[in-house]
Amino acid sequence: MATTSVLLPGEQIPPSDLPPTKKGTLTLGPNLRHLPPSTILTTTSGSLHTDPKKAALWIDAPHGRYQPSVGDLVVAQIHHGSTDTYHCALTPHTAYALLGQLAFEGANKKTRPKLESGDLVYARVKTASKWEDVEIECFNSSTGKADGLGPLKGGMVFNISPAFARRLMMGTDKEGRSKGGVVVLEEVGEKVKFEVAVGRNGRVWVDSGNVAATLVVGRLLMGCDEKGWSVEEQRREIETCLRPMF
Amino acid sequence: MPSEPAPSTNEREFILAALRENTRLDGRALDAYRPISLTFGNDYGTADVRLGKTRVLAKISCEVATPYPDRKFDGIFTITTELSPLASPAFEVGRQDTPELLLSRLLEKTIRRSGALDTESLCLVAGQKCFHLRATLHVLDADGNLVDASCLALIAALLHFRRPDIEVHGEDVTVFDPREREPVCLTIQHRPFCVSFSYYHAGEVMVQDATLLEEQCREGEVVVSMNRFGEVAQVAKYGGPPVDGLSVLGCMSAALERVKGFDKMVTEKLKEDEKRRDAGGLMAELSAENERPVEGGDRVML
Amino acid sequence: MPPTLTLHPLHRADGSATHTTPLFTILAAANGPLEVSRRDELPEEAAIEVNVRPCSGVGGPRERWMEGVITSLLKSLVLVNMYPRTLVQVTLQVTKEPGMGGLKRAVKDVALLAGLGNAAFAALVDAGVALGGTMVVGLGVAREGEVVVEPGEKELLGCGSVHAVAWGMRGEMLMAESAGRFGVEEWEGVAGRLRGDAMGAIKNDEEDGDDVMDGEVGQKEPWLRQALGESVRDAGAWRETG
Repeated sequence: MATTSVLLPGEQIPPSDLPPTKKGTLTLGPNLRHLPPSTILTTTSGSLHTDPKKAALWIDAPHGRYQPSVGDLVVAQIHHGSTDTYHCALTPHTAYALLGQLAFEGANKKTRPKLESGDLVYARVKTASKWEDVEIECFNSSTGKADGLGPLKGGMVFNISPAFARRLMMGTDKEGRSKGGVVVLEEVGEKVKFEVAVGRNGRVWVDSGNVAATLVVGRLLMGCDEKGWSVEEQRREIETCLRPMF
Repeated sequence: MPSEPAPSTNEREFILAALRENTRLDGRALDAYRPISLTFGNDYGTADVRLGKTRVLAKISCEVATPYPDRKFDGIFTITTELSPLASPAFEVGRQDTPELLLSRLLEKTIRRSGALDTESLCLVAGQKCFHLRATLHVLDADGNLVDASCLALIAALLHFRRPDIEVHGEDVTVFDPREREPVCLTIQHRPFCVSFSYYHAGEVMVQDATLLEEQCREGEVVVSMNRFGEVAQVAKYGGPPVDGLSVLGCMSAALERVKGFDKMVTEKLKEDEKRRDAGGLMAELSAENERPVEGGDRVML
Repeated sequence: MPPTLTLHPLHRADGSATHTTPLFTILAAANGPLEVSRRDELPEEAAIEVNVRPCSGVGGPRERWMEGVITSLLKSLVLVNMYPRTLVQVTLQVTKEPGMGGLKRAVKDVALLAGLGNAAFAALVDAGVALGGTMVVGLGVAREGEVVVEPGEKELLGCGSVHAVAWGMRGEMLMAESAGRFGVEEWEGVAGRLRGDAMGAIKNDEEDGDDVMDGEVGQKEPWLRQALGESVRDAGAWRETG
């Protein structure tokens, strides 16, 4: 994954920085746009990243409101329900995303979950286009299984930046180290039991059964996001926070 | 789109459960304030207050105007508060929402109606000329407790401000440019500050300096305005479930302690600012130069 | 002296920036794309709303004029077709302006336009709103045949004319507003100098010098690229460590 210098909005990606392609097609990720025939321009300022394996490139931009895209996992808040759908908010002050009332595992008219205004669900983005309302679902529509999606009861939800959410969801590399550089969840999880659901829309749901433990996880996550702790600093903060509990 | 989105049921229940255990989201004590910072700008009458993530900027300006016909001996003092999308996408320009109305009403009662500023001192020629002192409050970042931060910023700015020096001969008024004569402090009679209390669990739990999320989950609020001598300018409780009278009295004594703290901080910061401007005792030297007779009859412009 | 630009000073707004010049300090906030009310929505593009808030008091016709100029400037910059039926909202708060007297209103307004444009652009970048290009607005005064860029209060007071010109990254002119008495040649002189400075503000030190002429550019700092770059580098710092 190569990184280059910082690019400004509307700058052209020099052909030398483009990843090699076999079929002659490139996949453009966020913050890039294509001007036919062969010009690729940035749409915001950020650093360029490429994935030679997938012939993909994208711009990593530090800030910005979350924009839904298909396949994203999000923590959505129900605002109100109409005949067959729930209207949910993914981010404040944007149009509601639609969640079918039957879009849950094994749901039919009699056994569907009854959700109220203010409830939270963990969902996947089904469709997202600039012309239509975003649609989300709480189960895998091809297999019919929940796969961890569905209503989230109890616990607490914390706000983080979409960039930090991306880091949390990067997964681990071959040696088991977090690719996103965040060790909070794994290391706290060794001492404290808790459930967590990370939404790419910048909301993380945490439930540890009691107030103190849930707060510790939430505060550590928000602190890491706001202050940009390195892995060393994260480990120190984790120790400081967990000491009074044991 | 107007109005902040309501918090989720999970957040509301969690915050209330935490308060039952005397815990707040950021680990503060129930009566602890977030870190407060007060900075003055280079221009007189600019005060920037930060209370955690909340940030407000107060600006004082003045110009010569005609006094109101029914108040010939008073100057004019207006406070403008406008919430803009700068502070939060929930605020709309030009719309007077409830939070904005409450904020401006509280500031009016606390600062204007309590006579903190002596408006008679703003009068130049009775019935004809006076100073119009305009206090503008800009809310830059809204994360709860706008009232306390705004009042603190306004009082600090008023104390910091210098109005032009004047000379009145009968009905002629000469207003001196700040470069000709050192501008003069305002006459502030007393320094009232606001302290807000958010309450939960039928008034049993009182929290000071609530963040936005805590404000959204509260049952109601009590705002006390007083100065460091314990003189109360106003007490407000706008709706919400009833609160025990003893709790309100408890708020008043807690408020007194808090107000003394605010007052001390403002005095210290003003002194620091004085020192910074007066580096090397320049002030004394400058005034000596003004009194020296000048040749050629020209004024010396500094 | 190049302007100072800090990104993301505010928490609640999606993007924000503080822009400081010898004359003004402007705090800009950008939110979006947001849900828009039926009345303001456009079927195929994002609506752009600009609010200019003066230092003291409430705004009036002058602020409305500035809002109009900045709105049309931003319309040509924001990729509005990417966000149909939404709102991109920019609020510009003047927190410091030149002190008392002597400055003609028209002169002060044109000078303010330059700061507003730069602050609005930086706030939009910080908010991650898709933009079609990079913009730099330059401010220059002409007095007695001499051109002074980034003027202070003194230069503004005695000037013959003041000009605010916005440039895109390929040297195209996006906006030009002026006040005062001047002739075509004088204007061309100021514009040429401002163009050079604008290109200098975004030049990439790693590339070879491109077709920028006008002499003094080489010594100027690429302040816009540096300010934006700093923000990106801070956010990507975690990749270097741990």
